[in-house]
Amino acid sequence: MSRDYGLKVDPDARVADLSVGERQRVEILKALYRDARVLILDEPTAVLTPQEADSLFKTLKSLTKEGFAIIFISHKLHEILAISTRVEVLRRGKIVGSIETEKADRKLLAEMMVGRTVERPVLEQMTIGKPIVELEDVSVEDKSKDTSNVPKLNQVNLSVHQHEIIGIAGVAGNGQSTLADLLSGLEKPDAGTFTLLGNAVTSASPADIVHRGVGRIPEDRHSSGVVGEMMLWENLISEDLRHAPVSKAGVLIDRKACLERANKLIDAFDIRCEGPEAETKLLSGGNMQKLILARALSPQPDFILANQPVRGLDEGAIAYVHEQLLAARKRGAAIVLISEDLDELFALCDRIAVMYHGNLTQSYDAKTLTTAEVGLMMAGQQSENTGHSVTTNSGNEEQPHAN
Amino acid sequence: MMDILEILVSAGFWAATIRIVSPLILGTLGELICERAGVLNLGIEGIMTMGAMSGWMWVYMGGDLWTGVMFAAFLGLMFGLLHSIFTVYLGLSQHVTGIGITLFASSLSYYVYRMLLPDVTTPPKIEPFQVYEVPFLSEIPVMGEALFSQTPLTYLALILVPVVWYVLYKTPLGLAVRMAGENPMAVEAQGINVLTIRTGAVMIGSAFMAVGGAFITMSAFDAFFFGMINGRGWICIALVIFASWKPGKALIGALLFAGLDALQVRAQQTAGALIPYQFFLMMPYILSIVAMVIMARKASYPKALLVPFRRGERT
Amino acid sequence: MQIEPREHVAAWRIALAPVAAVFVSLLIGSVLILWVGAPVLEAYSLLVKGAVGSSFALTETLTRSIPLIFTGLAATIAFRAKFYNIGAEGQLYCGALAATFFGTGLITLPPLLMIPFLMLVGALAGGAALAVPVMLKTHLKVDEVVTTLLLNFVILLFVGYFLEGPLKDPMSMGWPQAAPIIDEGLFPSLVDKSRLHFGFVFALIGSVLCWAMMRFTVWGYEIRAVGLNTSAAKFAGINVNTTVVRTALISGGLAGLAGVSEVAGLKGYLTLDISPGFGYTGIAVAMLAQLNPLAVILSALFISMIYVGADSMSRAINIPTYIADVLVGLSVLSILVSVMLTRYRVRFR
Repeated sequence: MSRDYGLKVDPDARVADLSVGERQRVEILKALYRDARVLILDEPTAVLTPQEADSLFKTLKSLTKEGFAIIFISHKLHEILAISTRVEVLRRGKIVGSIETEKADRKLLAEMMVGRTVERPVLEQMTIGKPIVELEDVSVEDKSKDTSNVPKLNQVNLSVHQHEIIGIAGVAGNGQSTLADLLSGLEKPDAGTFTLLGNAVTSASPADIVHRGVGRIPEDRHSSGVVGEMMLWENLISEDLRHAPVSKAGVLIDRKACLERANKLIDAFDIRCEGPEAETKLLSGGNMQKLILARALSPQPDFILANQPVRGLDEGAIAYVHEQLLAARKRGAAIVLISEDLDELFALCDRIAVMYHGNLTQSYDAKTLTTAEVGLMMAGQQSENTGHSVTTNSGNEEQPHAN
Repeated sequence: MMDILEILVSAGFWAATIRIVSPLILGTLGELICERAGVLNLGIEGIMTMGAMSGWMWVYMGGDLWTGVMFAAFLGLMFGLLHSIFTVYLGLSQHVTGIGITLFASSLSYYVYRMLLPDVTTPPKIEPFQVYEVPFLSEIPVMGEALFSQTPLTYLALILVPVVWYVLYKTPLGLAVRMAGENPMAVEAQGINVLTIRTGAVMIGSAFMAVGGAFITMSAFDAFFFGMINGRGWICIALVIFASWKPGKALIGALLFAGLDALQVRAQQTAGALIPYQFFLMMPYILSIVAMVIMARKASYPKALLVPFRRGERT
Repeated sequence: MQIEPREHVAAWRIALAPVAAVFVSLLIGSVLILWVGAPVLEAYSLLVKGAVGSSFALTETLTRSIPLIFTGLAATIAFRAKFYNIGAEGQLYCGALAATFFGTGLITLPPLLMIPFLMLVGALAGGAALAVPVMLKTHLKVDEVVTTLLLNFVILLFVGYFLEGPLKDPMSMGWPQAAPIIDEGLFPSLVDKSRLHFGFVFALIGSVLCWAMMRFTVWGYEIRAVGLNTSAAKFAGINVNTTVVRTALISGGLAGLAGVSEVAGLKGYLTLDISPGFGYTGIAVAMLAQLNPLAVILSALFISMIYVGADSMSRAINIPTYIADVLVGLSVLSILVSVMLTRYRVRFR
């Protein structure tokens, strides 16, 4: 079967040993084996490199030629345009439009999704300031029991300056979340030095790192961003509990001061809600993200970690988050943006580095990079064969460790 | 030291160990099945009490022993069903449901016992299961005498260990049960109903627990006392953790535990004058805690344990 | 059948949930009463009469509610942090043991100091009893449910040893009981010619303090956040382990106070049967109160009413007293469903 459909898989391999792309082929084979005639793929490329995604697209195209019907669900507009014959646009659970792909383009689809025109932000030219965060040969060991598929960090080097956004690309599960944990104070470096504003960070303490001027936007706003059952104002103070004006002497919470602050932030960040005492889980995804932005950015942090900040948001909310990040850059913050969406990285970042199996490449000037080059690095290939733009980029000869 | 050695080679000690281990095996296997499917069953203590009371009462009222065991198992199934309606279908807290079931099932057992026997002061007795000596095998010195001169329920418990292992690891049904406890989404993707699998596992597991309780009143003793289960259910839960959710290791853990308990009883007779008896009685509970501490670091919990599954909802 | 979350949880639903749960429990309980062959309505009216029908009955009900308020608070605070302390029974005995150890002549202070002192050592002992399980949980990831449950048995045996050994009252004619608490340590009586003692006031104060802690303090915020979403709490910089340990110590301390109040308020001396399962019943109290410390008072009063009333009902019409335990067990289960129905709606299709 694998041969018939051009889905290359070693039938004797253990599924745990396969790459994500191969596993996906197994899933498709499983469906075909049961005589499925309609395939439904929900965000199938989220865990693939661009090259793997291309090969998936080839497979899907050949399957459609054989008479299969395929429903392909994605938020990445270029994929939709590349693979489909017809597009249905969903907004708030309703189909708001249906269009032949030939007649569609990016802008049109984006407008259909949001219901109004959207402007992409433009990256303003700026000179970088002093370094804010510096990682030197930082490693984080794997302390969990199953060592099979959790790449941690391996001798990572990174420096982020004022007025600079560094993008971290990579296929999901290559160590980005560990890097995020490190930068948000949930992990400590086991080796190497992590310097924040000139002082070393040696222990894992989110409270400490926030206090030292880091604003953090977590990957999953529901599971680690907010406590859904608590009120809006309560979530807005969660990083600041033991300090005035939130609490008196670190004991009694000053509800009045907190509500006042919440009202201000709700206005400033345009959080659409019933008021500061509404339950947080009732907020839409975009408004919940605004709440997190309000909490992370309102203390004017020197360093911002944004981990997948626009995942699952509609185009309007995406634009808002990006505006806020760019405003912070303008103000002088140093920013690390982790994303699986290369378009987002290229639109927003000054420099881009790639993670693969716990290793981080040096960061390259985003203007001189191409999507294909980043894609190859995401697959762990040496950058020699990706063209001159990478190798001539800087004197820092930090090559990705491919293994 | 000589004393301990003497104890260890006596058939009586091993026979006692096997006797103590039987209800523990049944309870531990029952809990293991539930947890493998992703459901913690803290109702075990109450379900064992219910099994002990109902099986005994069945026989006391004139039924025969085996239908008594089946009656106990049936009630176990019913309490398992109750537990599943709460935890599997409604997705309610497994902790609180289990405690509620234990409170309800044990008090209901006492209520029914008092209702049917309002005036008894000393607990009445039944004719319990008799020892069945397996021909030839029971004549092997020490181990044979211990292992093959037992009551039928003990043989049942010992046979169930490989049976449960086989079903869990070698059959599609067992695979579905284990997947329901590890990755219920994957089970659902195969077109198998997670809720049905979990309900079935909790019901069967609870029936095991009830039979484990019935063993105590119908095989080990011949009467029903209040507070008779005395924490055995909780010990079974500790044993499941100690066994890393594996039937074979559960047997080893239970044997080790029962052996130490039997040793404790005998040591109490010799050293009872030196050390107050309460400290001997504490041993089973302390041992269970120690066993959990030893294994907790290595324990690989079923990943979906305590996580309710709601169709169409992403985790 | 489909279960969908409600967008807004109406206050009346929350208030109605325990009422509905109690009603369902009584309804199921009536089947058991019918089984005995007794008239249901008469049985329940006897139960109510036996619990609140006379001033004696009323003071008995109030007296019985004291340990239930304390153990109910112990469960409430712990469960709020999703720390499942099922060991309140053992912690209660630890509190009682500590009060006995210090209160039978070892130390003598004027009553105004002696009573707070006994409460302090009792609370510390109750907290200490929970220190081992909570440390095992935070440091070695050992499940607290099983350890706290098992420790109940250990502690009871430990207390039994003291009552037959070092703390045995030489005047007790062979019964395993401790010497009486000295007069300075006894809680004053609250109503003349009744057993109702000052512990009731302490329990009320305890409820209000717990409520205030949960609502107004950083500790309360941390307990709620850790219980509702541990990883978000951790991400925000709350020290989860510290919070869990602190919560456990508070919870164990409250359960210890139940023991002190039974020994120094009600009985006057420690025996092995000062608690007929108050620790476990406290879980029912907490659940019926939906983990609200103020509501714990009402739910403890209600459950104590069932126990006191069932005693007198069973004397009158021969229904086993275990009906009270059955009703409590049933109400734990039915409150779970009725609280769920406040947050979700069930649709049949």
